[in-house]
Amino acid sequence: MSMLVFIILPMLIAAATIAMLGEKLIKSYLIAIAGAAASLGFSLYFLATIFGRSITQSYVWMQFSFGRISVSLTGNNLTLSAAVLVSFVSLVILIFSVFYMDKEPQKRYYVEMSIFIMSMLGLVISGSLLLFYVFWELVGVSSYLLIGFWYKKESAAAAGNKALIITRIGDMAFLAAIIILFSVFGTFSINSILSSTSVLPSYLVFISASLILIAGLSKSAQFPFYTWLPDAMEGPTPVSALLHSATMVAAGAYLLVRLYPLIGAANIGSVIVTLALISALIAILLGIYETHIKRIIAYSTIESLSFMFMAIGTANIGGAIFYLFTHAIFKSLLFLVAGAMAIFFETYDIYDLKNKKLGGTWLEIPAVIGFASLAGLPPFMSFFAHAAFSYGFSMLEETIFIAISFFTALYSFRAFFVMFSRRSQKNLRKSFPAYFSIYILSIISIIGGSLLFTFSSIINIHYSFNVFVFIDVVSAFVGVYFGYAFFYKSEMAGLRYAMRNAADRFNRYKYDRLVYSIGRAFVRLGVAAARFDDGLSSFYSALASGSIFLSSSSKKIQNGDAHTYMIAIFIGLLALISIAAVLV
Amino acid sequence: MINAEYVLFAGVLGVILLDLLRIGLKRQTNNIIHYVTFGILILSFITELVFGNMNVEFFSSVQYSYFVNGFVLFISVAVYAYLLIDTPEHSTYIDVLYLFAVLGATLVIISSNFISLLIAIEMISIASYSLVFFQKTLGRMEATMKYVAISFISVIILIFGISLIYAGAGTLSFGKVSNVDYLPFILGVGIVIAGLAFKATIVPFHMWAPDVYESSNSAVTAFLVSVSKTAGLLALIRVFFFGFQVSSSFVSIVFFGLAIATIFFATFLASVQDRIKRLLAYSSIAQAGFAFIGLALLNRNGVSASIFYIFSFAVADALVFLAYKIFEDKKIIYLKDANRMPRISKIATAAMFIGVLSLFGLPPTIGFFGKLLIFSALLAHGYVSLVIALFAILLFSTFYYANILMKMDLSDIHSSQNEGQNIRIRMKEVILVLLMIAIFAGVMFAGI
Amino acid sequence: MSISLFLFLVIPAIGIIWLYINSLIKPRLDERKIVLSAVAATVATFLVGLITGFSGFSISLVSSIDFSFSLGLNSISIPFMLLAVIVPAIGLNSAFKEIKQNATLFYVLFLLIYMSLILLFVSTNLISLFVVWEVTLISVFFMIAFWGEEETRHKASIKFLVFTQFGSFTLLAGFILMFLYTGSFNLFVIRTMIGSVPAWVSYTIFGLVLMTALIKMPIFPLHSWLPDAHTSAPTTGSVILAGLLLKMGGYVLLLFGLELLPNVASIIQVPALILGVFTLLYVSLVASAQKDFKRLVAYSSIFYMALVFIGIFSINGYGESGAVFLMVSHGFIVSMLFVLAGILKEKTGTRDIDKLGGLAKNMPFYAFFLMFAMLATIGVPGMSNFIGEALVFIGGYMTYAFVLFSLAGVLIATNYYISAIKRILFTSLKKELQKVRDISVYDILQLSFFSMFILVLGIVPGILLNSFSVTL
Repeated sequence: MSMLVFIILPMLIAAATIAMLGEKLIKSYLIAIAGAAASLGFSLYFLATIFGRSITQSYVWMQFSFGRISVSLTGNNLTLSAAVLVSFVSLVILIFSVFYMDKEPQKRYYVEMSIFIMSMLGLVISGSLLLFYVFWELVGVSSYLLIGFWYKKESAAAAGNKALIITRIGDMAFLAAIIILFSVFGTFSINSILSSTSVLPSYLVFISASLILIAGLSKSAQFPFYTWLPDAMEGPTPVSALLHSATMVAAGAYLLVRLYPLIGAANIGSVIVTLALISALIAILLGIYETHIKRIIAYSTIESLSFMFMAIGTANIGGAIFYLFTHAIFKSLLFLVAGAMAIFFETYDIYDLKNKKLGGTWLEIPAVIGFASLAGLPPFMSFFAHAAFSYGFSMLEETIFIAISFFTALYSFRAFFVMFSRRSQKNLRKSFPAYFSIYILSIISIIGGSLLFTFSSIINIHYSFNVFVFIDVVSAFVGVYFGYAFFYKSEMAGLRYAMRNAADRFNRYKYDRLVYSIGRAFVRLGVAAARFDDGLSSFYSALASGSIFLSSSSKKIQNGDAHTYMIAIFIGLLALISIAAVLV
Repeated sequence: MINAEYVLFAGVLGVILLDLLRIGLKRQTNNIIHYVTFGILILSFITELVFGNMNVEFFSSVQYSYFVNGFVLFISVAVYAYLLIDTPEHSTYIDVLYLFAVLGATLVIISSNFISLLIAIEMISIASYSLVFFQKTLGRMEATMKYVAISFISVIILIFGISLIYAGAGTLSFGKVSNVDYLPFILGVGIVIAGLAFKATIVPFHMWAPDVYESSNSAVTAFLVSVSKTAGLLALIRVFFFGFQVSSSFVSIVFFGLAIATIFFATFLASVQDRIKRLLAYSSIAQAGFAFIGLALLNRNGVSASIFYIFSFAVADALVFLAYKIFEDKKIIYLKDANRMPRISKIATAAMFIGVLSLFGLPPTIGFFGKLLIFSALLAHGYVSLVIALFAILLFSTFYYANILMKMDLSDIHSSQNEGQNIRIRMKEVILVLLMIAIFAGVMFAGI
Repeated sequence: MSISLFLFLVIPAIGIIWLYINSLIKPRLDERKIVLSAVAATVATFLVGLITGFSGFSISLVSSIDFSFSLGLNSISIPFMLLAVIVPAIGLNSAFKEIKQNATLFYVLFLLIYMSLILLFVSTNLISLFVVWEVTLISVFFMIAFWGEEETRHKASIKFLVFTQFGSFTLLAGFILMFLYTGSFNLFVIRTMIGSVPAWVSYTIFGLVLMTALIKMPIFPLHSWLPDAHTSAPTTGSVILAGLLLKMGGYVLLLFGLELLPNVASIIQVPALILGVFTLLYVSLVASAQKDFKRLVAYSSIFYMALVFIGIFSINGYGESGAVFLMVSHGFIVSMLFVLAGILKEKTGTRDIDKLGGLAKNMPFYAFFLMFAMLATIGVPGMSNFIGEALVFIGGYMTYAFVLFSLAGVLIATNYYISAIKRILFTSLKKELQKVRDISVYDILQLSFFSMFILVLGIVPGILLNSFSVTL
């Protein structure tokens, strides 16, 4: 009957259970991990049994006399493998959370995480745009709650608000798009809509695709909506790992992939690529300058997401998807490493960490794997992913990408070389949850590359290991070398300062401030409106008092003087007589 | 063939004779006279309910007069009871005059001839002069003098107008006007309106009213408002609807103009008063304006609405002024003192409350149904914008009525102690309760 | 065995009489118990009636003007009945805490309003409808005037009364016109006869009813009475005012405007929609600048009624259903918000956002419910407002695309709410607020009831949607 819903159900039950039981009977994390494992199990099961086919299960949500609104879940290769990915990564990160969140309020964290994971799973297997939107919003709300987890800090609360507002812009665009589509098709079902896009007049195709693009851009922190993501790092690191690298931010790209026939029909590919390139450029410039390790990784996420968007813009959905999968693995790995460092050394600043002497600890190898994956170096998974997503690139894009590879490698290894430049004296403790989760992800990063070849049986992927791929690799190695030179050996100061000045100059443009001032402008508009409204209110009161004034002055006629009265009577009498005379 | 009017007339003669007897017997206490008066009033009320119709040369009943006489007599009983409770030793001539006044009122309502109308109006006027002067104070003397002076002028105007009508129509009887020589007739009509408008407190002939109402004993004010004003309005109705049809453009313009002026002027002035009694006085003038607008339509709907409206405000004003009497004795004059009301008498406060709500037009009191009928009549004739303008004015009245209610500040009605409960207040409260019942039950008469 | 609607008059009336008698005798029972039992009985009656069905009731009082006290269900009665029965009942807890002076009179007034509101939505005779309409209005006026905040209550209550009274007058005029041209005050008779009314009359009727709705809902520029009325009112007063009185405007607009005269409605559809969208955007901007939390909530309630207005004027099934659903949903949510604002004042002594901060630390339960209410009100799916909003937007867009500009308003609303919440709950706890304690068990119960309705309607909207039908 309602089979697919079992993917979502375990996390929902987990959330409710944790909320009600608290820490009384069982530890919250056990419930959460059990739920995630169950979801993973169901996803794998469905993937295996529904392999190659597609099933849709729909439920009527609202029935009217003139129509109905239903929601549906779709199980096909794409959705179910995404479900597997989400539940797997969630499981790993939840295990890490046992280590990281050891001293923090447990119940609230695990409830919010469970709600998030449930919503994310629901999002990926949604077959109806309305349901997709429902989960899309819920994901945003859980993100808001989790970013502001340490709500006593002003910066955390502010970051949560910022994230919610900026992503809500995308949410509203999304809602508008699905309403437009509903009004034409009479249904929210993705399958129905995608199979008959030709019914739409071209201006509506353009509008709805653009709105969906805006939604994707805001959720995936691309230009012009990227400013929330670096600040979102205020949340606990497992949150950053799960939401802001592996899953939620990827939902934007996922949306575009799911609805690709519509997006493609609108011919906005070049716009997408341009915006993605701008995002990448910004990410690089800001990443080079940054000293907070999580923020560096955040900028790298923006950049990685832009790769996915570039792939989408060049009609290469398979590549985008494969990169999404690989990115989820290695990016969360990087975050977990950063999180472990934070727990051990209580700082996120790469220069402080340098002084803590990390070289040679068990964190070093996973860090290398993570940064190398980021740079796209073989033999790690992302190298293969690069081959996939650059499949559709034009000559121009490939050329630009060479430079991008260089800089990416440069700033990622800057971080690495700064942090791990000094050898450490002692050994770090190997707490099982941390150790296990980081190592699992590292292993997959190494061997996962081969999945490229088997993956195409799940989802159609084009890839080519053409010359540009290899040039990119070379360029990346050059970047690594420069990173080594600049930061490990602190040589070539001149070049380094030049680079630094360029980044600094860019920083001064302060796009972030621009966004902030747009927000302030609205507040000022609000104050002006409020003043107008008070004025309106006083206007009514003035109306009332004006009439009272009128009344007070007329009061003087009635002054108690009998003569006045008689005069009034005579005036009245005369008036009556004259009217009578006139009318006869 | 017993009628209330015969009872009253007989009563008057009877009371005079009894009093002479009493003086002759050298009895000092005159309680018995008062009780006799009271008994006569009640008897007349019952008679009215039971028999009701009178049809002689100068007086004829139409369908409404039964109803109107009924409530006029009912209110008269209540007011007299108040007077009796308050000052059991008042002079007997007050009783006689009071009976005359009531008789005059009932006669006005059923007169069918200008002569009888004049006589009846004079009867009620002269009697009310001394009622105003009841419990003599300096302020009352001034008010009485004003009242007398202006009233004389209005009567003179009335007589002059009647004579012009006679010159134009050849007859003084209401039902028999047919061939008219228009010029003197219309002039006469205009002047008669002025004369009668005085009694009905229509602007600009209402000038005496606020002062006189304010200065009199509140029970007398209740009488003036509920009975005297009713008589004036009904005179107008009788003359212009059940009497003769006059050229309607003239009447419409004049009547509408007067009514709107009354409503506007009185409402505006009421909203800036801070003495309770004066505010209520102005509000009653505005109510008269409202009733008059019903008449201005000059059709069956309008007039029925008007009559029911008169009933509703008469009962409500009677209730309010009688309730206020209790407070007046304890010197609550200004609005801001109103919050002492609950301490003096809870029932009176409740009575005042309900009375004001009825004046305001809150359902399910009869005040609401009165307004409903007036609006229906106006809308049926198509005067939509006029109705909306009236709404705007009514907002002012909403304001001042709500102001009164608000100042009464019932929020600590239970925590207050009572200031001097005595038996007199108790008896008055009973009367108030009766009137309150009327406020709600009166809706039954809406169909008339 | 169906429930006669007459019981909804009888049960509260018994409560009133009992309260009065109780105030005279000694020893006195706690009035709160009496009110609670009356309310509980009414709720129980309603719930039973939902299962067994309701039967009408009618007695003719004055036949010459067709005034009869008749009750019966019409196509949209049940959702509003739900609101009228449940919301004041839940709001009663706030009254128990706040009202100290002259409690008996207050509860009498409360039961009177309670009774009148329920009867309003099931009156089939227009005069009875108007009677209870006015009673409701005056009673709320008294609630504000006598139990509101000391300094501002007089002015605010008079302003409220004068504004809404004008709306009552126009409604009365509309009713009278309907009577004059169809010969009856009965709702169903009017429905069948309305076609034979001359055109100018139907325009006038619609205009009058529209005026009433513009004042009651309220819509720009006639909304000025609302913020002042709310800031001065006691919490229960605000709950009744926002949760129910505003909906009266929507109810009459639907019943007498849209369902009776749809052709007239379509003539002024475009200006009406523009007005609705403008009000929505305007009010969100004004709300952004508010420092008093209750005033902020007051302005945002105008926002939702503007959305309802848009839904009604989209003149299609989705919009209308959305409007009704949104009215019910909003009734619960805004009442919850006002209760929360009241608790804020009660616990910390102020509603000024600038003076508050960090309350989540000392008041975790309160923080949870406030967060819940806030998320509900900005339209997060899973809660009832989302359903209403989505339906209204769908309906609105299907008529005219510019309706989607309202989404900008939702964005602004999100912004001011989360900023307010941040300043109230998060960041550091101010020194003066260190001693604040969390909400009581009764408060938690009260807020949980609200939350339960909001969640249930948000997840299974069919429960409500199946209980009414729109005729377009």
